[in-house]
Amino acid sequence: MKAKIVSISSRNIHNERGESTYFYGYLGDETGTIPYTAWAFPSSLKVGDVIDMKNVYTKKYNDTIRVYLDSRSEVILDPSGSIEVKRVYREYKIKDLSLKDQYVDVRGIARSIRAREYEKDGKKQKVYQGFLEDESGRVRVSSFGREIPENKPIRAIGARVTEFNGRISLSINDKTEIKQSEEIIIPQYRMYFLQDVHGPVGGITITGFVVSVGEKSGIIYRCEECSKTIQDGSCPEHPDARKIEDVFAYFTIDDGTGSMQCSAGSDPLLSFLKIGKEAITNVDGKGKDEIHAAIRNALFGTPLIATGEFRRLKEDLSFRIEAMRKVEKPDLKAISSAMEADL
Amino acid sequence: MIAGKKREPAKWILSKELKDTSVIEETQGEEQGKPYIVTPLGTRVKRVIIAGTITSSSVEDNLTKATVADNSGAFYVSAFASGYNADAKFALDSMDHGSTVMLMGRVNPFKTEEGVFYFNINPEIVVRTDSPGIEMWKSRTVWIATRKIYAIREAFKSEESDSNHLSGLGYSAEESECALRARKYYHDYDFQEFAKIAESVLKFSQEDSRNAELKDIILAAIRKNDNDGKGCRYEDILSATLRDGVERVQVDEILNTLGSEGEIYEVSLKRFKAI
Repeated sequence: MKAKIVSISSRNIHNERGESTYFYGYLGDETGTIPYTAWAFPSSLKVGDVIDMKNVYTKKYNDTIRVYLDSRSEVILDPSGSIEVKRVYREYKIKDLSLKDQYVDVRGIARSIRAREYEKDGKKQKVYQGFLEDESGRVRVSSFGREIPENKPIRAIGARVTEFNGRISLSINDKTEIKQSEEIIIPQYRMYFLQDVHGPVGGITITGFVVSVGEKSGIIYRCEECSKTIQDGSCPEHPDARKIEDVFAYFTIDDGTGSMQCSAGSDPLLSFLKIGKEAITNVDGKGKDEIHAAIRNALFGTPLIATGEFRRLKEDLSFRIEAMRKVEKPDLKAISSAMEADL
Repeated sequence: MIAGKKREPAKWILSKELKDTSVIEETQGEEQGKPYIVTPLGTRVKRVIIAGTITSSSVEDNLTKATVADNSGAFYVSAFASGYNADAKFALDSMDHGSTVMLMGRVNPFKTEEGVFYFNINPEIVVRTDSPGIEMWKSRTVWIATRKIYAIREAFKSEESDSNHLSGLGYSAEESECALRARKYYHDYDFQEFAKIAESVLKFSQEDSRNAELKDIILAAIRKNDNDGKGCRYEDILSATLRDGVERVQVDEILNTLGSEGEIYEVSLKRFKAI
């Protein structure tokens, strides 16, 4: 088969046979693009090269056909070859974005877009950063050099999916086509069961019982300079900086389809506990114990409705809560509707 | 939690699903603790989360026994004062009959020589919960069971249908595996009957919820319309509730219930006061 290399990435793996590197990306021709995995790949090849391949095979992986190249495959560079690659992008809902498909066709409404300047090769450039949300979820979005129309439904064809800091993000560049989209209705809650969440995206609401509360939940101290958590008396980077009190809780929610490690910072936690910031300021040892007990008593065994963002930590997802409250009667209708839709 | 070891997931199941179980897995060589059981809906269980109303309890120094009803039957709970979960026993001791609870615990299976199965739950968490908590558990548990029954029906359509086929139909990995286990172990089980009971749990639940709403409406009407201190007139209660489409017979039932619960009393004929 003959194709153009559309992208190349590499990953190191470590197994019982030792350390090795494999390559992956996209190949393309006049009919479309296809992902590939190469266990062996000539290091001289680069994006844009046209190659002839022999003894390659295809296999379905994660619902997508991939081309595989191994030690028996032959790859020959065609220096005079030229292929106009037809880009084909699959449509995705934001909740279903993943690194399995890195270039996608996605609809959404851009929010909170802020421009930031940076320097590249001595030239000032602009990047626009914010969020893109649809009826299924919310992700961070960055656009290099192109302004993103805000608060209007748009369609980004050929946006790149990346994962940074454990969160799925979208990247828009000059090759991404941005069009106006049909209307997108953002629901009050994007309510999902844990069994249906596979990627680290935001704007999701989950409901369930809190089945454990972390022993270290309670008052913590942060460095006034860098906001990092102080473990041993003072910040190692700013030893003279003041310590500021903050409050934090980590706990597990079980929703019947799975369980999730959740964390909540001061905003959702103080609002949930119905106390002000003064309650966590200048507290002594007894006061700290009382705050810990208040968190535990309020959360443990409570039916909770929580909205936030999933993050990937190592292999597992965790849930960073932005707002939470105890499930009350009016919430039951929304919970039932989400279930009925899935029957 | 032991480092590097994942927490044993807790399954949300109705008491009928537990009661009808007749498969206890053999523990393998190094496996420790209680064995897994496989329920008629194919759920492989060691730990459960249940919710319901305490209908009986007997408290002794070292052991508290209780039953927790969920409208499909009752769970049998035994909490011990010794061991890791003594707090659960003390929490259970503090609950009265009629208290509504959320409980997480390990299933302790037992099979008699006659082949009869008994399942006891040893609680790790016992927490008092309110009506929304119970409603959430019931509706979610019935939803989980219903999806499993749909997957089981698909699995029974062909002996060859496997987890890939069921996943392709939109069932989760857990639902697919449950369906295949149900087909393997419970070929003659009456899934239709189970579906009916699960549906009735939801119906009971909705009725309970509607009755609680009606009680609030009627109590508010009695308080609002007691203008002359002689109690609220029956006609005023009716006109306040008719707006919400409540029938007269329902109003009478709720008035009787509120009376027997000590929330209201009849001052004179057809005049009511809230306490």
